[in-house]
Amino acid sequence: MTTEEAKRILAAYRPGDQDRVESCFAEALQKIEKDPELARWFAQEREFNRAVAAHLGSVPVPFGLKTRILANVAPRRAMKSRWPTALTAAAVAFLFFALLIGVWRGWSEHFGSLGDYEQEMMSFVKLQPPLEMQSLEMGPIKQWISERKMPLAEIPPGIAAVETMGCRILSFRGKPVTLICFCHGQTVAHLFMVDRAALPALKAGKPPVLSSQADWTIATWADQHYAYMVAVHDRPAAARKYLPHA
Amino acid sequence: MPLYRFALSLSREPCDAADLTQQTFLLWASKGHQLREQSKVKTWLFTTLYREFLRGERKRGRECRSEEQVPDLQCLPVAASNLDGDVVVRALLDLEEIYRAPLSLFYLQEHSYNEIAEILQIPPGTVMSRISRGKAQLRKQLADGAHQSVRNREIA
Repeated sequence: MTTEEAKRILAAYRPGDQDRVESCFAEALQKIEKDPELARWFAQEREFNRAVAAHLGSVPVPFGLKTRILANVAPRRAMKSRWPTALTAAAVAFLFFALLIGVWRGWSEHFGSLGDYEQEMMSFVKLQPPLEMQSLEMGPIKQWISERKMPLAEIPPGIAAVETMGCRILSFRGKPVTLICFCHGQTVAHLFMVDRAALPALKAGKPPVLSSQADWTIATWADQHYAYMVAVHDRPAAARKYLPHA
Repeated sequence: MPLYRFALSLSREPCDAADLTQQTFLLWASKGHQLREQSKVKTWLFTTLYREFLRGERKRGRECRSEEQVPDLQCLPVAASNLDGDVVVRALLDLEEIYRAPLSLFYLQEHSYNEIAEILQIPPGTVMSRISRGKAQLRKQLADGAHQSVRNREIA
């Protein structure tokens, strides 16, 4: 086995010591003892691997994802476990209604709660993804969004007066969400727009509802066509100036 | 949740990754009982998630690229422990899919290279090569500091 072959094999040796018993690594590990250059390389490799694994392992999971999964998965398991006993007419009737509920649940999975929406959009913002389109002016941003036939409503005057940074398209339960980012001095603000059908719980025509998440102030409201969410990296009092009816 | 992190490494979008993870568990709820070996549950979940990702990519008309003959890059020593976590993760997410998938599974440490081969439906030798080349690309990106400049253009 050459040093290069040993490196190629040892590259797949996991950062922990789980692979110590794997026979395919045995020869390469033995070679380390006789080859100081390979041993140095392997030590550097393991240090690098451990660091990258730690960084990847600390990527945050969106708040509420586990709850969302359990809420959707658990009832289906429960229905499945009842199947063997469904031999009588009563059980058939029960299954009929269960099926109806299942269809309704399937339908409702296309829509999320407002809380899910807020958490998912905020977890996205906190991950700091690159913008798909960058511009300091609203005109080109609107044109870019229109060309793609993505959600685009009248921008609230308070936030429309702020300098833009750019935009990108996200998704929520299969519905496109338009994100436009703004920068006002040291304050960053994000405007999300999605078809109102994605968030049926949000009633049109009501004033924005404010909530806080860490250092962010979040406001949500809706009109006849769109649901809006503004996230401002500032206190609620400072965030109000970006909102309609403020 | 390693499954979500694998989904994120594939889709590169937290929203899509969350949907992909949920979809995988829904499939588990409807089809998981067909699995005879309970010890294979974890591999089943990762395999299913990867297939769902590929199915979604095909629906969007995005086929994964085949492996290029990338020359073996000089493995530059990079002190990853001193690097910013976000920079490392972003560099990992910026790799081509053929390297990103095996490398993410490798760094999540949940599976051996043989299990990674099973999940990605490629030979074990190819897994080793892709992990090795993927790491070289990752090191190169980190060493170039390309992501430092990209960060300036990201959302604040």
